[in-house]
Amino acid sequence: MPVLTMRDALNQALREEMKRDESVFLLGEDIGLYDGSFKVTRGLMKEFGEKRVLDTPIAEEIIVGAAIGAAMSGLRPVAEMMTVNFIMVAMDQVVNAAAHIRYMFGGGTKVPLVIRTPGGGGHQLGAQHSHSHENWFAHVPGLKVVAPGTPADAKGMLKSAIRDDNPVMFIENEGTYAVKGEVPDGEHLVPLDKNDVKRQGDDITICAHSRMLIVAMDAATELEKEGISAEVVDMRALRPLDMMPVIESVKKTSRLITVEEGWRSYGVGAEIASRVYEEAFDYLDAPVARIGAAEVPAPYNKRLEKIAFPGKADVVVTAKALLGKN
Amino acid sequence: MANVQMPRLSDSMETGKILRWLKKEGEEVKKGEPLVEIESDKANIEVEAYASGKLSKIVVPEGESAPIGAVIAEIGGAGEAAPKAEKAAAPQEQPEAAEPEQKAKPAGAAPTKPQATNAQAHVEQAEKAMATAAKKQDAAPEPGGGEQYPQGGPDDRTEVGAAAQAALSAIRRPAEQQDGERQRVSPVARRLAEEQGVDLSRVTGSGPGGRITKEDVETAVQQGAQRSKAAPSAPAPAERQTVARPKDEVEVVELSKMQATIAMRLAQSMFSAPHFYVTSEIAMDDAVRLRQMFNEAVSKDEAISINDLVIKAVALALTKFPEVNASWADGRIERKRDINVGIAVGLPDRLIVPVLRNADQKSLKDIAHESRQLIERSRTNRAAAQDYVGNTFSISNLGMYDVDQFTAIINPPDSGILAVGSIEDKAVVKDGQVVPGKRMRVTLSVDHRVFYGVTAAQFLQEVKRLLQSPMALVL
Repeated sequence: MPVLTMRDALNQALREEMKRDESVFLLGEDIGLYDGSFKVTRGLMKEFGEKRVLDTPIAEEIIVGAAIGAAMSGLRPVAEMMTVNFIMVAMDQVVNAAAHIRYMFGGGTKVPLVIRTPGGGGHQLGAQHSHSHENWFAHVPGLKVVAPGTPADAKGMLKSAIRDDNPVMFIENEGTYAVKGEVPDGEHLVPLDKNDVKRQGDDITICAHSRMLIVAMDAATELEKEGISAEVVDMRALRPLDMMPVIESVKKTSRLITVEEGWRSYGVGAEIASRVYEEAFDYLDAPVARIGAAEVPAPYNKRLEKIAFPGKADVVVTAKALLGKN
Repeated sequence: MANVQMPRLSDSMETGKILRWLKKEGEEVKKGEPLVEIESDKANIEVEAYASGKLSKIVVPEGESAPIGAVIAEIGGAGEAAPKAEKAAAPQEQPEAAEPEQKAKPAGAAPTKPQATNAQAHVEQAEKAMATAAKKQDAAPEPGGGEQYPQGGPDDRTEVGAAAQAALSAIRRPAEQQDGERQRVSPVARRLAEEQGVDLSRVTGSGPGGRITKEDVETAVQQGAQRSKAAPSAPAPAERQTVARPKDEVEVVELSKMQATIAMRLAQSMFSAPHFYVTSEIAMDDAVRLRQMFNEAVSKDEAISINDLVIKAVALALTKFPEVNASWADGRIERKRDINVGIAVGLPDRLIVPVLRNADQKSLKDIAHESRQLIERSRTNRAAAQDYVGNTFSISNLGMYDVDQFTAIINPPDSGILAVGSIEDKAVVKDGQVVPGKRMRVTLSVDHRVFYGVTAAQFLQEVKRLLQSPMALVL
């Protein structure tokens, strides 16, 4: 199987879907001439022309609004927000329009829209450019929210998202574009509502999505050296939230750690923990441990930033604490 | 001699273009002085010199691009001869985006205008820049298949960061608190204990703050199984071997598993809990009358027994005496929040104590119904394991067998048991007259480690008061 970077896997998905379906088009800032800030749309304007790859002004509300209109009129837009930080000015379009229109029109219209956008911190970009907002979107009925952590899932889920008749928030991560992995050629579809056990284990369950999946996998490798067998569940499907693999896993391990790059409070881990308390309380041997960013605006200072975001050591130490081993 | 490298001006920047050199080759430069103007993907930025000295060589001329980290100029120490530029630039990659003919242009030439209107040219230029960046990226080692932070990130840490502090303090918090009131049991341990009939008060927790974990219960189950396996068989062969009695003098009765457990637990209770006993005689005239009236009013299936009245009276009294509704637990006392009354049921081959839960909150009618079912299930061997666990106080009633009074052994983990004798018709003195009366003697066995004589007497007085004014039991 070919080995691709995450950015090339996404590029492949876009190219394949644009070839397959003429109604698919891209719009966003610098995605055409400049090939995208993170080069995900590399070569697509050249291949598909300026009508299907639109360079837009720096106006996120207009990008999302125009995409919603196009989606309602029968096209399948894929809008790129250069980073998730910039989507805040378009939240009205995302929540009040994209998420609710199909419902408010009694199903009379649909919004087959994908918004691709990378989040995450750790690059010394300061408080305003280090956000992880997937929990904001996952809070809203009417949106689907996915956050893949491997190149294969990135390709398969982006293709599924483009074919979905509902608005899909497709959350990427600035820190994973260079991550490599095997990616199936051609038609490879990954469902938007299925989470996935990425590593089997017996002693403890670790839930993570997007870049934190990589952190969790690294931590599991580290824990194995110390005789701790960790199961890693990829929470790539955040809304609808597929809890089945987590519940099954917790029934086996009785211990759970959630890892997310955003803040803990009101976060993805908080939701997962609540569901576990509801569905598998009698299987828990310890409280669910949530790891997330420190509750401060992301520091610019390199040393502070380094301790503010979750890393492998945080997961390893927490796992051992849950197992009473430190 | 210092190399001037293409700086990283934005996170998404991969190459930068030299717009203007602000110093000429050969000119002196001071640290902090503006040296060069660079165009990144986001903005044009003036970059300062990081060293003082003579600008000995401009490697990347105006109008050309170079990837991050590439040497774009050299600053020699004061008076130092300019070294060969080719040598210094060699380990760095040549900026491929730069056109060869542009490179040949002399330094200080006017910046070449990019063909901004030609999309095709832009795409090609970007592609070249990407190719350079990609080559660089592929060459770089990937740490653990993970993220590539340019300057080291959270994954390089070996110490725990702020990110996990909150989770860790939540996990470790119980270790700092010792309220000593409530036994900590994890949900899965509690469920497992109930399924396996493990008495949690006998399990020592190994988790944070002494929390009993799944593993602790599993260990207890294993040990319990071993113990009950060993108990009936181990002493028997030894006895038979050492005491060579003729076979017809004794009949050796092997214990059932349950009998072995009963023997073990009662011995443990009797020899570890220092028992003392308090006896009281209760006038049962009103209680007997109340029972008659009650049973006349309800169907036969709903009839109550004297024992049901005693259960209710004891349960209500326990609400006022939490020190009685308690357990000895390894040097601490655990007061139980629930009031669960064990009812001793004697059978020819065994003694069992099913538990009536939350007896203080149940009506007399419900107590009668439930106790009848519990006793029936126990007699017919159909009781579930959970019928036998959770007792906080027990009652043993031999009233139906015409006994005046007796003492009972405390049923662990309780710290008290009430032994109930028969109701007798007696001549009693009332208002100076000898009149007939119904009297019942009860004896309370107490674990002296948990509560003391005065409490025992007061508790008994309360039971007595309730049974002598039994309307309180039906309210």
